[in-house]
Amino acid sequence: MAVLEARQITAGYGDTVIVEQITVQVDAGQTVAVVGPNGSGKSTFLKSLVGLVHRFAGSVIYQGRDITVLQPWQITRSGIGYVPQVQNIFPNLSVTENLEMGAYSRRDKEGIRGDLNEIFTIFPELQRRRRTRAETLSGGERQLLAIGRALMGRPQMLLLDEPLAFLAPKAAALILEKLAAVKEKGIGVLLVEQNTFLALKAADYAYVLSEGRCVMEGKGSVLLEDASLRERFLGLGREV
Amino acid sequence: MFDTGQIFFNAAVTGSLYLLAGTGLTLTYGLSRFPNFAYAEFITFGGYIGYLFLQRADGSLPVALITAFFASGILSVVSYRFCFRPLIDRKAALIPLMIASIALGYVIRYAIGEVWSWSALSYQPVWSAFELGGIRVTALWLYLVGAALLTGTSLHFLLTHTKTGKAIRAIASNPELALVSGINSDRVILFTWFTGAALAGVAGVFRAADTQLFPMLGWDILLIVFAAVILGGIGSFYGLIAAAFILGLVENFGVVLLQAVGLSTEYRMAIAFLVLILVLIVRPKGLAR
Repeated sequence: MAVLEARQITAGYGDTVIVEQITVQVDAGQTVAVVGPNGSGKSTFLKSLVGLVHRFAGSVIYQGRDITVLQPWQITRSGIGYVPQVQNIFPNLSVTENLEMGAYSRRDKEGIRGDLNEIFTIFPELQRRRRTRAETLSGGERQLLAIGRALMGRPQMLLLDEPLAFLAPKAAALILEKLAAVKEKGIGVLLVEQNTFLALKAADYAYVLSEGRCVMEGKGSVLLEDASLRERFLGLGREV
Repeated sequence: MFDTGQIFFNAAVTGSLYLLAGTGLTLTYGLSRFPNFAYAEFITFGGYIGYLFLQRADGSLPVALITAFFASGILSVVSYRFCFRPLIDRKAALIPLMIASIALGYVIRYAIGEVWSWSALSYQPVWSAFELGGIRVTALWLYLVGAALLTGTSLHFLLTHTKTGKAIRAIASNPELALVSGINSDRVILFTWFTGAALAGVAGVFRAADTQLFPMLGWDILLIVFAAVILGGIGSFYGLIAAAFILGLVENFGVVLLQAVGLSTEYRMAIAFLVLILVLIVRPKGLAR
């Protein structure tokens, strides 16, 4: 069953349309990637799902409920966690406070404490630094914190905007490993990624955007083998 | 030649006033990102509300303070809801917002002048000086320092130990991320506008009790309050605590120095601003950063 459905989304800034008629579906426990060249509108599409950019048309259905008209904070409270590509932490807050903010709308103090411990178990890198100001973290640690903050809201759906950007290969591998653990919990993941090769390898299903439109979709492994896709959009060449 | 204890106490009195008046200015700047000049009138309005209770010699200062707290807080919330919020929703930039705040300040100031009086009024209760451990004090000053201490400790508790307080810091730190963390920023911002201006209203009562009550009361101290806010690092409450006391110290040492060299104590503001400029040359973003 679909956790999240984006139907015919047209969105952009001011009067400018950036993405047109994008339809995407994510099932429970599924990892779905949206890939495409720089400037294809991937980030804008993701932001439109949580109400951060203007939608001209289309609807967003989460667990069978139309959430198109909700405010960003209401969308988050309904169970969608969103991790922006940049500025995805609260730099002036401690690591623990960052995570607490992710649980802002929750009232179950015991549950929050339990989840905080769980995040620290999954991400021991953060536990060591839980009292320090988040701005002192390294790039990889920040990304973990950003994902951790989103998980604290107990989402059934996680939207990630280029979680692997700016990361060293080792840190990127770590993030992917942690995402696999998230998937194990049955959380749907919608991943926007510049690093097409890694994204398609990690994804069950993928959509390819180009100039604001969806030009191709299919299973990650199938797209990875598609020669024309590799050449036209992914710049991977014919050889692996 | 210096009575150091007295100077430090006087500095605490001056600094307490700046802290009460500047807290809202710095906190709401952190959230709404524009300097709100109407704070002058939130201060003045508090002073006039206090007058309702202190125009008789047996008036109660605590009652005046509490009523001014709520009155200025509500005035601020109304001004946010009906003046600033519509402008922010229409993506107004910093300068238009700032000019709007000056304009709103004028409207409130002239309304106050019409409703009460353009000539100076005085609170009736008299706070006579007495000696406390070798320092000349008045009950009013002790109340003022007490109110500032209470504000400092309770705001520290609010900002570090409560969900709303942490949300205030989170929104100041990264507004968009606060929204997608499920924080209803609008509610937190309204709460901050209320609390900050409420404290400014309290400052207005103290200022009027210590000097006189007139429609320019808030405007007269706004510049030095802004100086404290900027010296502390605009948006930083902890910076403001330090800056308010430093400016109080500079002013009160300045008075003694000026008297010693035979100059008018009117120059004390000039000394305070001179120190502000010197500090900003060394630390352009203020003490906190």
